[in-house]
Amino acid sequence: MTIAVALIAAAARSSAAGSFDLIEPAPPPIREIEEVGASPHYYRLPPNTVGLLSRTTMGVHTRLTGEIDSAPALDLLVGASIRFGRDSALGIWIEGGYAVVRGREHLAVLGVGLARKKPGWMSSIVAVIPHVVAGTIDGESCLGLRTSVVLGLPGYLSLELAHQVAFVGDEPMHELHFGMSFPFVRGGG
Amino acid sequence: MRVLGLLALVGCGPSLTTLTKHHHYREAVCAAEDGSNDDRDHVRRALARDADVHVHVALIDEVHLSGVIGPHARELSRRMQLARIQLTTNTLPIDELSGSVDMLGDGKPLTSAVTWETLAAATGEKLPPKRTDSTYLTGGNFLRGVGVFFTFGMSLPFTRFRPQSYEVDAPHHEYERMAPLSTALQDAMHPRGCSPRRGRGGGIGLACTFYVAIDPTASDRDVRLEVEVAYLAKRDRRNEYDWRDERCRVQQRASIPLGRLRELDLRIARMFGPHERPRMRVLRELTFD
Repeated sequence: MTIAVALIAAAARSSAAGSFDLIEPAPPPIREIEEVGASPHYYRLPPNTVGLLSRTTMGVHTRLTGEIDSAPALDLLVGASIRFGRDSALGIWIEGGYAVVRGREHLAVLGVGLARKKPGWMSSIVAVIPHVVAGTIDGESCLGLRTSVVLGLPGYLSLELAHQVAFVGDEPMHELHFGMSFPFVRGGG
Repeated sequence: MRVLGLLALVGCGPSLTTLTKHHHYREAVCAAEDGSNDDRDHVRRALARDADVHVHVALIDEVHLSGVIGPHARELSRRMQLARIQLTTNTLPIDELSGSVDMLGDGKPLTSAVTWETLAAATGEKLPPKRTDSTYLTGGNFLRGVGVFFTFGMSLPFTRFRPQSYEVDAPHHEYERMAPLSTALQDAMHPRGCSPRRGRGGGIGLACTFYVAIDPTASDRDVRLEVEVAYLAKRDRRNEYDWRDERCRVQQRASIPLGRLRELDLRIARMFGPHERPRMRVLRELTFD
């Protein structure tokens, strides 16, 4: 048996030029097709122009009374961003949710604004969002407007600076709101 | 086509006709994937024209086998019919290309990949058993290492790094010793697979060599050579949470009739030439779909 295996191995080795000696066909002429002009970059962009977003911010709410009158604030917001086309950086930002200022305010928030976010990965967001706010301030019903400017790196950090004017009865109350996203802001698309 | 044309009209994106005319295939492939069947057909036709896929088939008969395994060629050629199929394309401005071939007999698979097991079954040889090896480079040990790092080594006395065993092929000399015919055949079938060919302008082309084992018992079956080429373009990430490497893909298939299996050698010689003739231009004569 060992001899037979050795003989086969020897036969294989002796004949083993290592090739079937198939005659290679003449290679076809290979052309190099090149792009004419610079390639556009549109269809490779993600086709989704709508993305969900959620924003949880913690910060400080300050009444503009001439004195230091601040309280901690928390906003819980969800919504959507809708870009004007897959290569458009501009889009609509819609969000709504609940905002609370400790010991003072409980507000329902609904905002629709404009946002600028380059499509793709790790691009910054700038958004200007007017919000309608309704709820209670110091135990009294109110209706008002919060205009926010949001700057952020989606997924990591966002900062919000807002001016809020709320009418408690006939009296306007001006406040400044500063918030930082925690744990994240998610802006789709 | 109509949908993309309409979108182009309202200024959303470049027209597909412009993309293919100027060979912007990375864009065109993604446009086709997002578009309609008409869009995909348009891009396929343009790719077929520019890729100019060439195919060549050569049967490995007893004469060829005898150059590798000597007197055992006759016996082996009765049990197995080997074929070499080559596929080449032009270089195209695309991110990836892949090619595959298969033979069908009356619509059923007729070939199998040439593996150690296939060859051993045909030569009647016994293959060396796989060996067991072990490694400490495992996901579990990585996590244990992370634990040790974040506890400043305090968890080390309670952490046991464990090896994981896995099977590996026996070394080549073991195959040579136990299965010399199979080894000689395997060694003769190099190079195998597809090697991308890079163009100067960043394009990519294919040069593939496949070996298949044809079942010689199905002599009455109508044989077709199925050729598939896939063109891929990298898509940008959807958002900051998207870690996938998404690729747009357009595929082309060609089905080349090769006649009855028992007349395969004559038909292949007629279609692809007695070796010295150039490869047949499949796309020029057959329709890819």
